[in-house]
Amino acid sequence: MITLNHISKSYDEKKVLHNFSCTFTEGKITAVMGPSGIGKTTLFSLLLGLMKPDEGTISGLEGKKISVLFQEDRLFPFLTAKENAIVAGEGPKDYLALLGLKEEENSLPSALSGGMRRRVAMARALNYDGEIFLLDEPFKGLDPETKEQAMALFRNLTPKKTIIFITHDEKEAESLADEILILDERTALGESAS
Amino acid sequence: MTTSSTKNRKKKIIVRTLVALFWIAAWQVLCLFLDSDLLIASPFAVIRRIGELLFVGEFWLSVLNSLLRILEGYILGVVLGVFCAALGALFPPFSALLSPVIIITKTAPVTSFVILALVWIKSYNLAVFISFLMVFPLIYGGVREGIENADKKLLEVAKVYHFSVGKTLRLVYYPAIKPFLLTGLSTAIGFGWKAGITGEIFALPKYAIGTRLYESKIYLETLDVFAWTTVIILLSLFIEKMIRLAIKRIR
Repeated sequence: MITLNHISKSYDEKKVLHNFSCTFTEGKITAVMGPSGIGKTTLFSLLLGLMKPDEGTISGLEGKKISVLFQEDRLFPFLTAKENAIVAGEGPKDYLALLGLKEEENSLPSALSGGMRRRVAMARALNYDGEIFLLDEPFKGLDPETKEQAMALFRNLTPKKTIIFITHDEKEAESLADEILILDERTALGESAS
Repeated sequence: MTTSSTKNRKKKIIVRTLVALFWIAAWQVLCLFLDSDLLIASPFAVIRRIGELLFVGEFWLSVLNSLLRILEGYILGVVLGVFCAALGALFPPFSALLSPVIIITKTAPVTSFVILALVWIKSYNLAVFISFLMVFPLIYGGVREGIENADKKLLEVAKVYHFSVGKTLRLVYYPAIKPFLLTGLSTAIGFGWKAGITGEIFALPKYAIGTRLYESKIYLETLDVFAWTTVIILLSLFIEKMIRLAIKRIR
């Protein structure tokens, strides 16, 4: 169980999360939903350890490998699609091929479309083979067919892996997630969520 | 090479040749006008004199020694510049400590350092030191700027995926530093060369271009002053070209 306990985080005195608590069940897929600017990406950065909470604690992540898919693709511009996909580690499967990018594996990110770059970043997260997957709008820019393929790949990772993903798309959340965490002004600023 | 780029290259060469011919002609006209070997040497006399110098052993010894000294300073400046920039990025107090030194080396005239260094350093090493002093702040500044410009988002990727220090340097920092470093390397060689020769003029080591230039001035050998100055310019262009070619390969 990943637990956030009474977390508060502010930017220049603007409270984003205040006394926020929630839990993520291991081996399940949780969708985090909510309007823009409510603190979803802050929550993501806190879980990743890229920022520290002003108050509160986070437990259940200690010593665990985390695969990440950021909101932006964050690919290394001078590495090919294949090199980018395996830059953090090489997983048990050829994820680039499974995501339909076998023919583009020698292309640089600049030569790929937005959807292709997204899939390369996804392949990187899958190849790292973390115990926890943190995905920020993972299917953004993908066509319906590719999106379905990608969702199937993540679905197959459970119950061995815990997946937390941020999305704005209700259908996406309903079709993939076991649990949905709604982050709104009420939950972000103090009332309990789970 | 495409036809258009070959044409452009030819055009560039023609323009450059015409510009050079214009200035040589202007120089010659000035010589005829002044009509004094003491004040100015004609371009043809300078070419003839350089031709003579090429057959003098001391000329080559002076050129090689100057090149060696200045390149020693250049390499030292590059190595220490990169090292100190990395150290400054890792330990900000070190960077703060170094900043007055960088400001002084950037703003004080070269001759101030030369005069001071004459007291402390052997004449052979003075050009090395002065060349180093010109190169170091340029490389240090360039590398620091590159480090500060490293992509923060890619650094986060390196952090969350636990990249080793070497991998982070190779994939995030090196690409960020590269353009700044290469520009620094190319600019620094010109500065180092000029400053190094100035150092030699003051320190007068036995075999040095600066020493030959100084002696020519003392003995009022205007033709030699012009010849050695031309040699300095040609060598500077040659070294810069070599560095640029090396940089092009790295790019």
